[in-house]
Amino acid sequence: MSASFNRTDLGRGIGLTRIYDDKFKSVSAYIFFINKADEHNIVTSGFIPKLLITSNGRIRSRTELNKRLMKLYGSTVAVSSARAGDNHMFGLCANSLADKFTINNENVSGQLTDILLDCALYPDVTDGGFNEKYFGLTQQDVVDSIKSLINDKRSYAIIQARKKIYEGEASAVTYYDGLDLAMSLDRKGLYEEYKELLKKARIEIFVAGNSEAEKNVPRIIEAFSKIEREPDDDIVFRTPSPLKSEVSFTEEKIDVRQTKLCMAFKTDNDDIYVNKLMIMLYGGVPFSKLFANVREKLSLCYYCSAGFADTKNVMFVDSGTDKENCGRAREEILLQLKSLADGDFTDEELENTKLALCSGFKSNNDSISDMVAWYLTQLTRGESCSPEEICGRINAVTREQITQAAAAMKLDTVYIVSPENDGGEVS
Amino acid sequence: MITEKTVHIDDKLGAQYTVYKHETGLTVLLMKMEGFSTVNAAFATRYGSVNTTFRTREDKDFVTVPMGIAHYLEHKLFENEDCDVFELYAKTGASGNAYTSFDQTVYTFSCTDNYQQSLGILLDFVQAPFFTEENVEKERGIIAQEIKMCSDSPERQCFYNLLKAMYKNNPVRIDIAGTVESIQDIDPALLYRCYNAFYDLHNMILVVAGDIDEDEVIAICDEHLKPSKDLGVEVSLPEEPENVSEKVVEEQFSVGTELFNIGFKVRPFKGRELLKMQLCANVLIQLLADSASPLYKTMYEQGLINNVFSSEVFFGDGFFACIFDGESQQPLKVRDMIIDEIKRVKRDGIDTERFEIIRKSMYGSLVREFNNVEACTNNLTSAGLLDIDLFDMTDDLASLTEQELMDCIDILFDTEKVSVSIIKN
Repeated sequence: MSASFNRTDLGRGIGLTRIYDDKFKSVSAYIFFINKADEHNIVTSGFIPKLLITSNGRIRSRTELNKRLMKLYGSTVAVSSARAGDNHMFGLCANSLADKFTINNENVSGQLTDILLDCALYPDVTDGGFNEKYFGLTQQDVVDSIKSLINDKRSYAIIQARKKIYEGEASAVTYYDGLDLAMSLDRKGLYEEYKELLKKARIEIFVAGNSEAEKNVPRIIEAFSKIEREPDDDIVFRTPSPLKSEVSFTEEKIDVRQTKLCMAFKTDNDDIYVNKLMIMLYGGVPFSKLFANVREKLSLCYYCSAGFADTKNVMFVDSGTDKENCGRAREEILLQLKSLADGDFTDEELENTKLALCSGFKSNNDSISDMVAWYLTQLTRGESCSPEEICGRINAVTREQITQAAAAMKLDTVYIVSPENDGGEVS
Repeated sequence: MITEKTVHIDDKLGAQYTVYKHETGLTVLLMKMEGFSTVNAAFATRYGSVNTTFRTREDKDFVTVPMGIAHYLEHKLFENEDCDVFELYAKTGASGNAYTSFDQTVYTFSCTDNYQQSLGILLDFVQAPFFTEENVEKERGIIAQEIKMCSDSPERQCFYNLLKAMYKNNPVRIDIAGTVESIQDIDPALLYRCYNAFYDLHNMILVVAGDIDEDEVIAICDEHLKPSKDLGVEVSLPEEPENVSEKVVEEQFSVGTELFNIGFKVRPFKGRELLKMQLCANVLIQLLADSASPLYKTMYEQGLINNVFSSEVFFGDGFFACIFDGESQQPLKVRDMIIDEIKRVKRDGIDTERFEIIRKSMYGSLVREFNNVEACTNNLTSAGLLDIDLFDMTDDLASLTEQELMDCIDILFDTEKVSVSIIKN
């Protein structure tokens, strides 16, 4: 690994992480705001960054801003967001060529940094509110994006399932339930919320890519030193979701051809990497229990895979199946988890899964955005380990730890989205 | 054994790759990327869903086969006589995958360790078809599920409806996977027939990118590649009218906001001309309607489009189109405004300042692609299958003139050859 990593606490709830590797020909900067999600701010925090990248206090035209970015060799300023348990991490990211790769060694990344800082800290405001025209247009974009959730049936099923899995928890709130709220927001109120966000949210800044990016760091630090801050108490990232006393079962019928089956399991085993490895073996690789049996051997579905929300201790299985096969697929998914808990896997399968997981981890070194995502996730785990260091831990996991982790997974929620015109319930 | 070796260098991009001609007929393209952990490989054939009518030197007449065979073959090659290919990759830690497009089928792997063994696996399984009545039958259900899943996507449906509206006869109008009905006719004999015609190494390329040892890769090729007879496969596409088949097509779907695709049908190109026209189309499509264009500003501020509006140049073996897509309550008005803008540019000429900005922006995007091993593999695969130099694009971009754009705008944006596909709620 040739990348260098360094995190500095700038104080007042602001962190700065540098990740440099000179094999990259570009540089990036990310500004994340982190707060605990609720029904209101899940919508406003989706709205605010979209407005911030539309124009800023110095470039008050969307078209002009886009033109300036294109002039900087097609640089970009975009929205970046992610969920971490009950929290929402969102903000802006900017990417440009490193100056040395421009035709005439032009100062591209410095100019882009200025634009990014203007977008984040010096928004386009008139009369105590966001620019009226862009507020209205962005509001329509937000409304359209909420309405469009139904377009992707697999995502739709997963988001609907989340509401049941995390019922009563902050993780249950979704951006897609905020249609009425999005339509009711006004530009002045949203600007006040932006100011609160800037004052109170935890802020994590990442500068990454070619080490030439370091020259832009002082102006970022200086810009953030000038903002007024009264940060909220520190964010808690790990909030395991409690197991329901009875398995929650829901079937929703919509206009869809393929049935989507979502199943959530919860555990009290807190070892993130043991759980991750077990879940890979169960349903994360092409030779996993789910893929090899539910799809390949029994042909019960087109896809069937498992993933892990480590901040919530929740394992999630989703599958696309014919309605008549849904019941069998469900039984087989449970059976395969039991077989894992019973130790029905070879040492070779376990070693191969370690190899696949570590290969995936190490490949993060080859993308600026993946490196940022990696270290942001590390932050949520209270660590700053490199992919190689985590691979060391993965390689030390034993068979017994895997069987125990599988046995600790308890079914909590089943959510099915099935065709409305197909008659009958899923068996 | 290597019969020919050519090194391609672009100093401005700080990148290079080498093309080897292997004695088996295979073209091997290697890009060494120092410092990267990942190695990506692609073993690709010039065979996609549109190649349903073909003959080899050994055939007297053309044969036409059911839609969906290229994709079906892609699924079935992952099953060896004695094991599943994923079991082999499992031992090396590689992540194997494959995809079929309209005119190519590509088998890939990505790994951070043991790329040599993974490369051996890739070369072996693609050269070792094993189709039986039983294993072909088993796959039918899985592929039918895949087709059903895709038909749940309104975006995809909108796109395919556009292709159906633009093309009357060209097989590009049919889904890459075929239909649930067409795949019923696929059997082992048909699969072998298509495999033998298109998986001839003379019709294929191998691309490997990452921190590799080129001599080592060639030695692996020497060990694993089988002699291949040059069958000179020849494909035939049905006669396609120049005009679009239908001007407007609509379908009902559960969608949040109505979707649209607007396509300008263009005659197909080949080789160097294809590269040039694709570049011109990409520049023109941005000049007309990128997010910094006057047209975009007007449409966006009038609420006719939202921020998912985008455009693409869609091209391949026997087809070429310039496509705009997005969400709108008034897609026909969007079409009319795009047509008006095309007519204005044809009349008033190119905005010089915007052209230079777009050129710079495209150059930046090209350089940034060299940050990514997978992007390099994909770009090299596309260039290799078209038999063009990956770096020609940068040179062509640097030398492109306004006059060249004006010379081809009539061909690329004929306002009489437009189709609109709309997905309504």
